[in-house]
Amino acid sequence: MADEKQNPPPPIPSPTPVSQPMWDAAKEGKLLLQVDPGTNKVQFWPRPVNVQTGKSDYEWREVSGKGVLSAWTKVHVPAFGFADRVPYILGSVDLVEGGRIVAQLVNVNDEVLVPGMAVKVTWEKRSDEISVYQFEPDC
Amino acid sequence: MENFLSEKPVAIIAYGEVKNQRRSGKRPYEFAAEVMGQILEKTGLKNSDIDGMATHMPTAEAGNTFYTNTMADNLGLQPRWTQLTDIGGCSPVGNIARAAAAIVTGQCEIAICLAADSTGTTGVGHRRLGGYRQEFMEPIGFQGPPVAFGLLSHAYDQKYGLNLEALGQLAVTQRNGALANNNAIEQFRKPITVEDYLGSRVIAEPVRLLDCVMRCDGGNGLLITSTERAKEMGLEKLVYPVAYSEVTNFEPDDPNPDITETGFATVGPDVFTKAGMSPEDIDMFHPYDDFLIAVMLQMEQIGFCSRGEGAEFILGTDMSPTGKLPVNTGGGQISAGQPGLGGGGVNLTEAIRQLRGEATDRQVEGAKNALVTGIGVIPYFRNWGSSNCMILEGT
Repeated sequence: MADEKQNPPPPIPSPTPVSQPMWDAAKEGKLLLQVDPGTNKVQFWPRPVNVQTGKSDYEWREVSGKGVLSAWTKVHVPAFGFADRVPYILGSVDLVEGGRIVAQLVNVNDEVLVPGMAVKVTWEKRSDEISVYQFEPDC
Repeated sequence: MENFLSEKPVAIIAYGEVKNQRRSGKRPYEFAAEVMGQILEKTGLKNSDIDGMATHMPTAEAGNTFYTNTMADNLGLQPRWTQLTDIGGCSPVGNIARAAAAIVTGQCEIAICLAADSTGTTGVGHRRLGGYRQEFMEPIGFQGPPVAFGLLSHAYDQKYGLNLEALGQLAVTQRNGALANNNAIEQFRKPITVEDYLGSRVIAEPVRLLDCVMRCDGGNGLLITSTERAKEMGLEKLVYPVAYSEVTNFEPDDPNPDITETGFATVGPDVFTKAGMSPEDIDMFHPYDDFLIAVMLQMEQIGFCSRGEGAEFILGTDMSPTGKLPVNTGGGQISAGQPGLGGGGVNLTEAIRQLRGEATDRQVEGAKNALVTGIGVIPYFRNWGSSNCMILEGT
């Protein structure tokens, strides 16, 4: 336990009434996001409104979890709960369906990363209720 | 939009600033009291003469949902107009515009705008940031602003190429300002070189330690009234806000924005239109500096140079107090310290000090105006949340 106290685990997100459907789907390994039915624009993170209209007329849709890497940073000074992972890579992923998610890149060395690289979602189980999205090379 | 400041209806009549400190053990109220004390001393006014008060939400008092009242009570003020602004580093500059609007609409006559925080003492761990921060940033290892600027810098590098030598040059220029600034945090009052910048510890690639501000404790503030009243009081060295522009949550409907684009693309051109000026007319530039690349992006998007040419502009322009475009002559926040969310007041106070001719060894001779800016809030992988620009003119 002493070690755990020194290096606490990563935080576990607390769903809100708005985001709950996304986290429920995440448990099943599915990426569920809010979409504007008029333009098919995807929004991430989940919000109480469809930002295209300002109304709550968004739809939840399952997306492929595939995307391309647009930018990344190798983190040397960790966030709370990430000391065990240093250095780790955070990447910005533009999803195939549109929308953008920033997440930890796993199963890859930063030396092979290139802009536009194909990546796909993978899940890190943090608790019985919460799995957190990560991305890995899609090959 | 109309420019309600074009006829110079209001004037900044005094300012105060406390030396930035690492861990003072003090709270924002003590710093605000010191700032107000300096202002009352300089103007000969009493606290009972002040009938307006603008503050920002300081990190150290996050959770105090009655900050305005607590501050007024600490300072013995009875304001008829109050304002609590929480757009991060935009708040101190933004409060001038808000106080000006209150004065021209008759809501108050003499307003004090206070910026004070003690993040060096309290840290930031006690805050409760709602929405995306706790749910979608902290759980993925988003360590803070250096990660946001790491991603931003990488996006910039892909699009334009990132020139670290230029950022290093900017670091050295600002550090030289801090050497001449008695209010700069003491730890930073030693010279640095471009090599020191390049060799400093990497936090989140390519962001280095000397790219970043360091949070500290401190405070600053100013007193503003109608120009008519200021002249009746027989005060000299008035500083006039002559144009202002602000935007929050830039382009919210774009789900995949170009993160190298910021709200300065809107407020930069807008503030010049309002002032009837262009970048060449600006005598001094005091940009908000949380990270060095933010200064370069502002130069590009406000219009001092074109996009992608910031590095060339920095390397080819003398930005010292005797140069063509003096920049952050007191060290900026990166070299003078960032007193928490009052940090925007560091750049602002230096501009006012310069326009009053009180910048001692680093005085910019003949400077008649200054452009000051603010940057606020790290959003979810878009560019920063708020941007503002104000043009100030001296007497």
